[in-house]
Amino acid sequence: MSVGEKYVSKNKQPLVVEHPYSILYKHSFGEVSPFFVGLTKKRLLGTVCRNREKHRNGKDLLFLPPRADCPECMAEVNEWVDLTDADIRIYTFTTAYFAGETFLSKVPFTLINIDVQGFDNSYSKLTSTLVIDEPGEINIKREDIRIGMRIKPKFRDVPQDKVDASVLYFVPAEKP
Amino acid sequence: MGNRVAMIAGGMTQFAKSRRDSTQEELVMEAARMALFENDLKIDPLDVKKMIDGTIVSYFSDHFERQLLFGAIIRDYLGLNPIQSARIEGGGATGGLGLKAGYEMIKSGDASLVLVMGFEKMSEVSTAKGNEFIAMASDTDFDFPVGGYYTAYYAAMATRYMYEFGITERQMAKVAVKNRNNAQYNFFAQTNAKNPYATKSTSGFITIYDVLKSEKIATPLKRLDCCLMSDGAAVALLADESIARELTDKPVIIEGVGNGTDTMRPSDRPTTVGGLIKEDLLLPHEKAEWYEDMVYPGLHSFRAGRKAAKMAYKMAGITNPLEQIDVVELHDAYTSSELQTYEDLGLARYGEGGKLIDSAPFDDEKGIFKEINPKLANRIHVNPSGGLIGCMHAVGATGIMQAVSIMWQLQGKIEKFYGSDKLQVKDARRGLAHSHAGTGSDVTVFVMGRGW
Ligand SMILES: [Zn+2]
Repeated sequence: MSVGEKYVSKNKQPLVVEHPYSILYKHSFGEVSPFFVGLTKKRLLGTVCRNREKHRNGKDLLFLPPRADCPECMAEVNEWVDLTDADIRIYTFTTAYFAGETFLSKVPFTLINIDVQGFDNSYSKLTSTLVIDEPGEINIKREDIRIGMRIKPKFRDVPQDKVDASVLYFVPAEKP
Repeated sequence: MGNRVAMIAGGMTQFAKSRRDSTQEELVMEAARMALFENDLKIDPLDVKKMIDGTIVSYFSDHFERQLLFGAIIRDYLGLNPIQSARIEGGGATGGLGLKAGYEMIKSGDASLVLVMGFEKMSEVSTAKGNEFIAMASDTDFDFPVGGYYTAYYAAMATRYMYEFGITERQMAKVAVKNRNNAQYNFFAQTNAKNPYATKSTSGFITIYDVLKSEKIATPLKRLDCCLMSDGAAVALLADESIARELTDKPVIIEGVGNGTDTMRPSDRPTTVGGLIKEDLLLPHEKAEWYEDMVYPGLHSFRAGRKAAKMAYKMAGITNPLEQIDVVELHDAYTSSELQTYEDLGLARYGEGGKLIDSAPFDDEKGIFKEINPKLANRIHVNPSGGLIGCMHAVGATGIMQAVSIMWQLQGKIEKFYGSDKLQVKDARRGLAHSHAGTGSDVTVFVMGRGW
């Protein structure tokens, strides 16, 4: 008999009861609040640090998700750029057929990391969703989704006090 | 150099989707009792217990059981008051970081015999809620609200990994076949059909066909590419080398310890051409010319894993891991991440993780490896325990289960504990235990060698 077998528990009748639990958080987006306000105005905003000589790769850094402070030169980052009409591509993607509890009813859905052209993409591969069957937009099949495909941002209508990152989503900007 | 630190004993519970027969503290007691009473210590186990002068409690989530300060309950239940202790949390690397904290307690001289206890009970909430709790260990402002969860983050990384290097779903599936089938010889393993707590539908041997046709979770990852969610505990006893030699004839020396980190969001990983060289992450056996044009780390590699490996190898004097290490237990959260980790650990060149798994003889018709616990590159064994895919992922316990498994491998005690000698790596002299969090936000590496 192995040690493992010797240690098997003898208890066959544990008592199990139910414990509910719910919490409401008042969450602040702090200094990147303009990003979320921007979403409600149908604008995609990022921040840029132009202290390129102090950056590891010698380039300006685009932050998307935005940052109010640069992790490389530690400067405060005050410059916001509007990327709503930028050339944006798919950096990588996955189609989810399962999810955490909140999103289980939404499957299948496609998650993407984006790639904003014209900037170094080290800090700007924002995670979002790609909607492939949006009325009035280019519709594609899930199997046609490709790395490098052109996409464009879209925005759901929500009041400012209910905004979160899911207000933003993307749709194809080119046919496969 | 100062004192060296050894691992001298370990214990673990049966792992299962649900261990409702026992509370968390009862599970930790089960593992601790095994550690003290079953590891051939040379003096009375209760006298050993009296010598313990530090403990670490390592667990990941306060949500799973709606109990904060769980460490206090554990220490109290095991009769370990009033000695010093700390709770360590670092996502999936909680176990590895807990061991590192125990190691440091001894290395600093603040303690000489430290019990490191890792545990998690994930079954009290539904699987979907559990996935959500784990997803909350991703960025809850930007990644979680769009539907993000861990399988999807790893899947998106796997998509890019396949794109960069031509890795295939079949190569990934082979990892699941190896680890799951190994687990059939490890009595502790959740998928072992003989485990009294095993769920029938999710245990037993599998073939590559089973993996490839299993339900899609997040493309390219399928159900059998993914790690388990488990209840259970694992415990390791660490000692200053001089005490270690008083207590056991087979102390396993911790020869190297490494730890690395990376950004919380995969979206913020640098895409620097030649980044591996620029960040001084080349290993001794690698040539700069291999990686001068490679974007690094991007979304295809775990920079934290490489950093941890480099640090541990330097301390342990490892100049070619594939030649100097006999057995590895690594954090196979997903089949893709096992292949990626081969590369981070320097067992394969970047981009050649798939080739390494292909190096083991495989029966294409039956869809299984020709041997259980196959040798990779005709040399090294990876995840004989079954890893996270075959054995368990009770988050806070995982890194400890894997390091204790390496200790038993080096001590030649696999049959005694696992109940079968099938997974014993013959004459194993040096092993590596790897523990990994998030999408690679925190990684630890331990190089462990025989001290006798
Ligand atoms: Zn800067």
